[in-house]
Amino acid sequence: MPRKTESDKYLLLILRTGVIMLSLFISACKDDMSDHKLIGRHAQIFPDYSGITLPPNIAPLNFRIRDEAERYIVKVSGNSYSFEVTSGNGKIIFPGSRWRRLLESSRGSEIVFDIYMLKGEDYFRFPPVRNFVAAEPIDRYVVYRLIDPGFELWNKMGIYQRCIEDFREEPVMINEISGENCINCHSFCRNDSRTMMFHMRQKNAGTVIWKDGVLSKVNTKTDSTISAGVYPSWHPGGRYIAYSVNSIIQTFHSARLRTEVTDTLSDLIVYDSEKNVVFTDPRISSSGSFETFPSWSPDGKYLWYCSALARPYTQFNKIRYDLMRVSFDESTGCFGIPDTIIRASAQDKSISFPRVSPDGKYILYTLSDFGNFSIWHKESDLYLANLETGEISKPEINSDDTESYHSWSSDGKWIVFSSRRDDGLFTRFYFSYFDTNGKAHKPFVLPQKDPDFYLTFLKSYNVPELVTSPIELNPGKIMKSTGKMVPEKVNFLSE
Amino acid sequence: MAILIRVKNYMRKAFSYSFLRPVSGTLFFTCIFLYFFFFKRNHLAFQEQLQLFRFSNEYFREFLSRPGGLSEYAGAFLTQFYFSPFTAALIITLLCAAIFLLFQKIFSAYSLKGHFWSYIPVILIAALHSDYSYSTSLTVAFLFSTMYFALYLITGERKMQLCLLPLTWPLLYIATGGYSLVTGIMCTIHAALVREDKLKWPVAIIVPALAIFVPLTVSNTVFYGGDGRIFTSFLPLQPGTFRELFLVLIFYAPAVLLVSALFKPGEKTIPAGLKYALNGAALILVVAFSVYVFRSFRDKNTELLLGMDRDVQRSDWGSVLEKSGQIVEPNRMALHYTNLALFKTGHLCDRLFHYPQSGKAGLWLDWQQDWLIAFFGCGTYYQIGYNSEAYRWAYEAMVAKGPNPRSLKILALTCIADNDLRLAEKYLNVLRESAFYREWAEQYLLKLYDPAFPDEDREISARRALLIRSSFINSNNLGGRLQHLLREHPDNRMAYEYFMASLLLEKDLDGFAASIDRVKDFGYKSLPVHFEEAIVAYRSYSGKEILPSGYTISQQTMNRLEAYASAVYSYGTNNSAAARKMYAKFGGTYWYYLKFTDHQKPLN
Repeated sequence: MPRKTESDKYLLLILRTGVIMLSLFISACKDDMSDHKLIGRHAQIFPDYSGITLPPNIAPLNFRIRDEAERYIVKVSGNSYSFEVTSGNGKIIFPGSRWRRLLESSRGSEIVFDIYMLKGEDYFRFPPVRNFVAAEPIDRYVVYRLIDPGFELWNKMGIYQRCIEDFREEPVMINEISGENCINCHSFCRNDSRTMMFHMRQKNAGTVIWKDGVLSKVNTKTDSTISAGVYPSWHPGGRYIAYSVNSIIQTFHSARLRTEVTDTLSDLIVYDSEKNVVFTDPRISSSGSFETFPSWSPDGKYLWYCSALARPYTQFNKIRYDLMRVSFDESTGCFGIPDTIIRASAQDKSISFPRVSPDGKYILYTLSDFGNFSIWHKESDLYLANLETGEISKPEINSDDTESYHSWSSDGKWIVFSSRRDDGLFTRFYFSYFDTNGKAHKPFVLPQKDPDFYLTFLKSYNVPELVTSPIELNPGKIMKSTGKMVPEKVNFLSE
Repeated sequence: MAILIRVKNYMRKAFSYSFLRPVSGTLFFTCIFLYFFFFKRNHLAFQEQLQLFRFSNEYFREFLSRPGGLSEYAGAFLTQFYFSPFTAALIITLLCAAIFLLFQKIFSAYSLKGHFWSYIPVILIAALHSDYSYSTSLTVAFLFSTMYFALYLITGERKMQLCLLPLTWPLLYIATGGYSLVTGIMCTIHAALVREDKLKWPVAIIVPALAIFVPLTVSNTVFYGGDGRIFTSFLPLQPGTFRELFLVLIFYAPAVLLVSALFKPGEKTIPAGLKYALNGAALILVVAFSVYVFRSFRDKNTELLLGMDRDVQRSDWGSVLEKSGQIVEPNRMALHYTNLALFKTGHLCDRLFHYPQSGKAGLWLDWQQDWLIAFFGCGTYYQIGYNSEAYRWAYEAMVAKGPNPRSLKILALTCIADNDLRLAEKYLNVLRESAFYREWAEQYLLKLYDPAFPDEDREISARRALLIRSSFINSNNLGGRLQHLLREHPDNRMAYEYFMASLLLEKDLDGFAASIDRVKDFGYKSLPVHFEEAIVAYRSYSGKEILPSGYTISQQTMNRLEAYASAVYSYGTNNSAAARKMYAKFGGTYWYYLKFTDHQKPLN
C-alpha cells in the first residue's frame, strides 16, 4: 500500500473540513419545524389529492397549497421511504424519481403528506393528508381529444395520448395538418392501442382505422343508412365495429342549458372490417325509435345500446333513452331480440354511454334528465348496475356538475370519466379505483406538471380511453398514409 | 474670392449627400409614424383586440407547434402594445427602420449605394400594415430572415460559415417558416455569383440543400408534417387583399441581388451630375411609389368601421355616429353600431331614418358561422341583456380567433351575471396572465365571491336586472326573440325600442300599432319622432287612431307631414323623381322610408 504523502494528508484534511462545514451549513439551513403550531383544518390544496386511492404508477400528484404563507414544506412518507419538498410559492412539485420510489415502496398501503407552512416566524402544521396506493397499476396511457367546449365554430383540435406515469403528452392526430377539419370519436378494441379508429369530417373525411399495423380509411356512409358511422364500439374480436348513425341538430337555449344536441334520426349499424360492408337489423334500426351509443359486452355476445321513442326535436326535453341489450352471433353476424334492461324513461330519466366492465359484472352509464348529449347536462351523473344482482347504485364519484363519458381500464380496476366539476364547462378527467366489492373510490384529476395548469387551460378533455401501451402513430404518419387516400366506400349488406 | 469659395464649399457640404441622408431618413420615418398614428390607429387597435399575449409557459408552448411560431410569438408580444395608437405607430416605425438599416447593410455589400433601394421594402411593409388582416408577426419573420442574411454576409468568407449554416438553418426555419426559403435563395445567389473564395461552391451547394432538406425533416419530425405547406408555411399566400404585394416584398431583395450580382452597377463610375440627377429621380420615385401604394391600400371605410368598433368599446357613442356619417357605403356592421349608438344616445326612435337603413338587418347581426360576425355582433346581445347569446357569441369568437381580451371580458361578465363564478374565475385568470388586462381581471377576482359585490358593481347589477330565467330555444336572429326578452323583462327599454324599430324597418305598421301602447310603460315624456310619424302613417293607411292616451302628435311633425304630403303630391306618379328630390328634405322621416326605400334590399 503506497504511503500517504504530506500533500495527500493536507488534501484529505481540506476535504474533510469541507464536508463537515457543508453538512453544518445544510443542517443550519434545514427547517426546524419541531416547534410548530397545529391547525385544526386541512390545508387547501388544488387539485384535491386527499383521501384518494391512486395507482402505483401514477405521475407525481403535484399540487398547490392555497393557504397564504411565506414558505411551505411537505413531508411525504410511505411504507418505507419518505422525502421532503419545499416551496416558496405554494406549488408542491414532487421529483419524479423520488415519487416513483415512494409509490413503488407503498403499494397496498398509505402515503401521507404532512404539510407545514411558515408564517412570520412560526411554523404551522395541517392535519396530514392521507392517500392509499392501490396494488393494481392503471393502464399506462390515456387517449383523449382536446377541443374547445364550444357551440358551432371550432379551431384547433386533436387526439392526444398522455403517459399516465409521467407528464408526456403526444399528439396522435391534430387538425392543423388536415385542413382544420373535425376529428372525433376515437375508439380502441379492448384497451389495445394497436387497434384503433377515429373519424375525420369535412376535409380529408373518412373513418381512419389502424389495425394489424396498417392504416386505412373508409367511408361508412351508404345509401341505405342515415349517415356515416358516428359513436363507435369495437367488437372484442376486432372484426366488427358497431356504430350509431345519426342525424343531429344543435340548439342553443336562453337559460340553464347552454346547448342541447338532439338526434332527429338514429339507428345502429355494424361495420365488418374483413368484408368492408355494413349491416344492420330492423330491431336496432327502427324508424319509431332512436338507437344510439352501441357498446359491446366484453365477451362480444351482446350489444348494449340506448334507445328512445322517436320524437321531433322541439320535444327535446321529452326524449328519454332506456338501456337495451341485444344478443349477437359473431359467426353469423345475426342479432337476437332486444331486451330493455333499465327503463329509465319510466322515471323521467335518460341513459347514455353504457360501458360494461371487463369482467362483465357491472355496467356503468350516465343518467340525465333527458336527451343523450349528457355533457351539457349539469344534472348528469354516473350510475352503476350490478349485472349479477340487478342492483343499481350511484357511486360516490359524482359531483353537483356534469359527469359524462367514462371507460374502464383493461383489468377493470380503474375507471376514468369526464367531469365538469371544476368550473362547470371545461371537461377534465377523473380517475377512480374500482375495488373488488364494486365500490368506486374518491376520484382525482389527471395530474399535471404545473398544478395551476387547469386554472387557465381553455380546452376540454374529451372521450378518455385507457390503453395499455402507446399508440405508434403520429399526425405526420397518419396524414402521410391517409391524407391523399380516397376513403374506401363500404357496401350495405341488405341480407 | 476666397470667401466666395469657402461659402460655396460650405453650401456644398451642407447640402451634400451625407447631409441629405439623415434628413431624408428622419423625414421618411416621421411620415411613416404619422401615417400610422393618424390614419391607421383604429385597425391597429383592432388587431390588439384579436389576441391576448399571455406571460405563461403554456401560451408560449402553443407557438412551438408550427414553423414560424417564434415569429408569431414575437409578433403577438408587440401587438399587445397596439392598444395605444402612439405605441402602435412607434413599433411599426421601428420595425420599418430596422428593416431599412438591414437592407442598407445588405445593399452596401453589393455596392448599391443610395437610399432608394432600401426604402422600397419599407414602403411595401408599411403598405402591408395598412391592411387590417396583415399581422405584425409576418413583418417580424421578414425581419428575422433578413437579419439572418445580413449575418450571413457579415460572417463573410470565413470557414466557420460551413458549420454555422447547418446549425442555424433549422432555427431559422422554426422561427420564420417559409421565409427561410427566400433567405435560402438570397444566400445561394450570393454564394454562386458574388463569393470569390474557395468556399464559393461548397456554400452554393449546401445552402439550397439546407433550404430544402431542413423544412422536409423538421416539419416531419418536430411539426408532424406541418399544415402540408412545408416550404411555404407561415407565408400568407392565400388569396386575399395583400398577397401580390407580399410576394413583391419577399422577392424584391432576391431580385435586386440577382440583378446587382450579374450587372455589378456599383462598380461603374457615375459622373457627379448624373449622380445627383439619379438621386433626385430616386426621391421622386420613392414619393410617387409611396403615394401609389398607400392610395391603393388605404381602405378608408374599413378604417372608419374599425374606428366605430373602437368607439363602441369605449362607449364613445357620439364619435360612433360621427364616423357613421363619414362612411361612404355603410354595411350592416357599420349600421348595427350606428343603431346601437343611436339607442345609447337616446335617439334610436328619433333619428333612426337619418341613417341609410334597409330593413332590420342593420339593427343586429344575424348569426353566421363566421368569427367576424360573432366578434362584432356579440355587443348588441350583451347590451340588450340577452346573457346566454352574448356568452355564446363571445365564446364562438374566442374559439375561432383564439383567446382575446374582448371575448374574455364578455365571457367573464356574463358568467358573473349568471352567478357562474367558477367559470368567470377561469376567464379572469386567463386575462390576469396578460400585461394590460391584469388589473381589470384582478379587481373582479378580488371581490368575485363577495356576496355584496354584484349589487355594488354597476355593470353586473345592470346585467343581473335583465337576466332571463325562462328557457326557450335561441334563434339565429335577435328579432325572433325580442318579444321573449320583453315578456321576461317588460321594463327592458332597449328590447322595446329595438322591437319597435324592427317593426318600423320592416314596414309592419300593424305590428307597430299592436305594441305602441306599451310606450307608456317606459316613461317617455313625449312620443319619439318616428313613432309620431308611424302613428300618422297608420292613421292614414287604416283610418284607425292608435295614439296612446296622454300623448299628442307635436306641431313640428304635423307641419312636416303637411310639407311632405304636398311634395309627394307635386311629383304625382313620378316616384323616382320624388325620391331623388325629396331625399334632402325628407330622407330622415319614416314616411320617406315607408314610401321610397326598398327594405328588402340586402345590406353588404
